[in-house]
Amino acid sequence: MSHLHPERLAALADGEPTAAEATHLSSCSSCAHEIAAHRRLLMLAWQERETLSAPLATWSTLAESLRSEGLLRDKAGVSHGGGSGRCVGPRSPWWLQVAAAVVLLAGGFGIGRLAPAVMGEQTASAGQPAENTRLASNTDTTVTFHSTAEAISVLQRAERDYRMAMMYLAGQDTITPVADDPAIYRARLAALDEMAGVALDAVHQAPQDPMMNRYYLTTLGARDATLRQLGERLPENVQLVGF
Amino acid sequence: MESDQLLIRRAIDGDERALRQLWSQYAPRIDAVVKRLAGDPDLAADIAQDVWIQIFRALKTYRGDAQFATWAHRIAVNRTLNALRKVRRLAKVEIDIEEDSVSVEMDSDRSFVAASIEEAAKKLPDGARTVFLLHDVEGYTHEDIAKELGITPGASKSQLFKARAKLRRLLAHLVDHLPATSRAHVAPAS
Repeated sequence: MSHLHPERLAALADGEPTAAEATHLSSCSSCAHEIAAHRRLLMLAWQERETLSAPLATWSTLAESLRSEGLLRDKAGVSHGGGSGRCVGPRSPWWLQVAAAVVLLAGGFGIGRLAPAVMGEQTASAGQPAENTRLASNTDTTVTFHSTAEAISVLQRAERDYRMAMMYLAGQDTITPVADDPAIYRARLAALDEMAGVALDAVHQAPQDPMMNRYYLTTLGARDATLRQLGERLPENVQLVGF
Repeated sequence: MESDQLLIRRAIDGDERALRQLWSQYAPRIDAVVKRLAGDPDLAADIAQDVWIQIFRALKTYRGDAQFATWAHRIAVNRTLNALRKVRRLAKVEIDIEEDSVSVEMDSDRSFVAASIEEAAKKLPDGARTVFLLHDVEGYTHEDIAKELGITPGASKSQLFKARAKLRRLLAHLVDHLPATSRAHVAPAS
């Protein structure tokens, strides 16, 4: 049997091979490699869902439209600014939520110890209403999770937010001397490539381990950021075509 | 922390602080969906406002069967796709994606290095891009996508696999760590 078509390989990222395809895949490392690459692509796509955005509109503009729609009630004693209510004032702005996610991350890695057991639980509880609410810790009564799967989901989101925040802060840093020498970024990319290779080996050895997958994806995220930084520091007439 | 149910009840009554609190809490995620699907930041900004008006308009119909975030996400996707149709970005779901699996190295995107899924997806035709985002990112089924886009589930699958095949190449540096010599994968011509 010849190699599988690229679109068929893409389909097998989350589909079942036929008996003939399974036989071929068991002996063709090239096709097996392609499917593995597609699965990593799927993981990246899944992570994309956790991306946060700064609000695309301002509240004042939106409030004006809501008023004209009759959806926002003018009420005596309630300020239109709406920003200083003691009991029910607006929640933290989006960037503060991101920062809070970073704080969550600090304690979140401990959850990794539960990881092997979690995969089974995730499968078993998918789509079912939560029955057990667990506190994040004995003393924290504000953050609650309804399942381990939910907690893991929050953790993964926090990791992504952490990366975003780090990238943003790196861009805003006016104290640390900024390296303009592209060679520094190339060296970092080379190092990250090695780290990604090691992490990928670990994923191959324990493909179901979310912790290993997380390390791998985090390394790819750092590589991503460095690639962008390198691109920004190249002369205008030089285009980054690969690394 | 006030529960979403209480907050929603007050928002339905037109309480500005409750409306603003819901917006402040969910805009980072909802607006990200709009931005992703729209592709263009300016267009996304226009659509986002419309999306939020629609979410608040529909609040009375929210019964709490699903989480508020899930419910609002659904409205955001639906409203964004409608808006995109209006600007004729989705007037026709493109079938061809110029996928040439044999001449990988001859591809015009050979020199393009995408830094992220979002960036790479912009290289896809609108239809394939939308199907990919809805299925692989937003978690929609092919049946749901078919209803949203007015195509068959089979067409949705076809678009998805073409999109994935192209993205896999555009993001090879992220998903492929084997030596370059192992990357050439020549499949039979279809």
